[in-house]
Amino acid sequence: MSDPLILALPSKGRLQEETERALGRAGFTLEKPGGARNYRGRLTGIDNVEVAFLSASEIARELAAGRVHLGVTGEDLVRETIPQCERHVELLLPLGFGRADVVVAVPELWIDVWTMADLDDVAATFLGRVGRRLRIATKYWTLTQAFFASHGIALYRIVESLGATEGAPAAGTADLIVDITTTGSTLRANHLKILEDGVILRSEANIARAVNAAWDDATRQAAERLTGALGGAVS
Amino acid sequence: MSAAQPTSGSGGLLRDLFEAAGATWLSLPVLQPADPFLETAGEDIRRRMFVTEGVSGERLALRPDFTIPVCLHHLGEENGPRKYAYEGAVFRRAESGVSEVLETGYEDIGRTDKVEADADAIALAVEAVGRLSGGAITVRLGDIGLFTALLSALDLPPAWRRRLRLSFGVAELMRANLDRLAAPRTDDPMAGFDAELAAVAGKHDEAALARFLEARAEAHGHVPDAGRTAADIARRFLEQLSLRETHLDQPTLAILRDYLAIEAPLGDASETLGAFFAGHGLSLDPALETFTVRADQIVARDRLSPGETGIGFSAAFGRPLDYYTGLVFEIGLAGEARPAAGGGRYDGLMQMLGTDVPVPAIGFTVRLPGGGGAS
Repeated sequence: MSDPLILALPSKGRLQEETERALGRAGFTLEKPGGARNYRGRLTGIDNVEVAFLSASEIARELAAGRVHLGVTGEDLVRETIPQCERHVELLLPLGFGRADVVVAVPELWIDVWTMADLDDVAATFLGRVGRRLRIATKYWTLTQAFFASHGIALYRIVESLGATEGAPAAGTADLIVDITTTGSTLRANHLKILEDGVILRSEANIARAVNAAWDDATRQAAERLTGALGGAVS
Repeated sequence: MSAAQPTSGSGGLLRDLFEAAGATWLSLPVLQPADPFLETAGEDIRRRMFVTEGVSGERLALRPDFTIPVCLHHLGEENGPRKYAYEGAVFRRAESGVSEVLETGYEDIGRTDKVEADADAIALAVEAVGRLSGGAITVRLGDIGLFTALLSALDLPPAWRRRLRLSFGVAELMRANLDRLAAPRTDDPMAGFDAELAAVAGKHDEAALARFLEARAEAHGHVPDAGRTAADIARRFLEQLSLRETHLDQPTLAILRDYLAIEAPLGDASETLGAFFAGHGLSLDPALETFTVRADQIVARDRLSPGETGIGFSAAFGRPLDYYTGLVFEIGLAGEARPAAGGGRYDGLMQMLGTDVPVPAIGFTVRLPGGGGAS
């Protein structure tokens, strides 16, 4: 028998539960031989598939490196963590859960800022008025830079955010944020508003294919069966 | 950071040429303080810089550009005009290809006879490129100063002028911004306002609105004095309300689009531009006058035979660096996609780096053969 297809699945949290449910609907059951703490598992209902349990961001990295064949992870992580991601990873199927938007949000009190064009205006005069460049708190460097560049905004600085990004404007460590949101309630609670054209990406969990993994006929067939069954269960 | 020392000895493919033009040869450290680039060069450079840390945590960069280090060196010198030249590698992350590019260049800082300085720089750049390669040379010339003067002559609101000026040289962005300014905004400016805020905002009383926003910032738990002020927000809000009632009218839009489409040999450009402005009842002096005198000088000093070279003016032509203020140019070689040299006037940069008043300056860099690089 040839080497098995390696499927990377989220190891914890809501994403893990939803993934397991989706696999169940598609007719597969996850088996974790060593109990919940094992990092390897199997799928019943399909041959030749081995499961690796990883964190969602590790899954994006492993896909990029081609060390796993398929993986379930958020589109935001694929686009953020993998340079030139189209060359390395193919998003095969949105799974209908893990929805989160990556958005540009400014303080609610910026009543004169509705759109990215307004932000451009504010950024252009910020250095003169405040004495430093506009600061954006985010974990999404790549997405932020590409999005701001597409709007022609160059006059800003990104400050790294490792914790509660949405608190940065009130704390004075940044002027605005780029972050993920599902319902917007956390943003509202922090008196932040999303710009009208400030949605960078509408992300959800995807089943993604590693372009550079070692593919042969057996793994290709297994991938098609898995994706087909999941696709049938999603729609 | 140790100061640069004028050096003698080896190195410098074009050193004799630049020194004959009066330049002091500089040897500048590869590692430079990162902040001046971050503050003045714009996001394109920032994104492509290699940044590292010194022993005491200071941010350092592999120099992504020579102009800023030369200006910083000039800041540390005695006052007065100086010319500098240099050669070395610059480092910018490339998506593909090599991130290290070998460049040589020339900066002429502090000269008040700007027209002569511009003509000198172009003549020198053409000669520099000619020495390095034998082929036919073309010069493409643009002028963000003339565009700025046109925006003033058209009496556009300051916010629009700023936006169009920032789009200069980036065709797609310019098109998008012109389209946006031509279309009236239809969304409700007070959407999402609560009743209390809407009541204050509707009064068009800047001071009252600022006070209200200030109190609210406190109630929201914002750290005071950390960023934009309530007064600034209130002022811009009311300015935007009045701007919404107007939009860029069709005739003005047509003038801007037609202007940006102007291309002419530099020898004919003044006449073409003069006719264009006069035809629309616009007076662009003294900017056009300066342009004309300078164009005459550049053409008069063009030592290459007419068949061999072409100096073309392109009204929309700009270079994607924040600090240019006037003439910008690129020199191309027949059969090569990438420009062999590029430069421009940056009268605002020295002030951004710390002088009290603007210092006129112009410079250019020449890509050296085999130096690699992506752009």
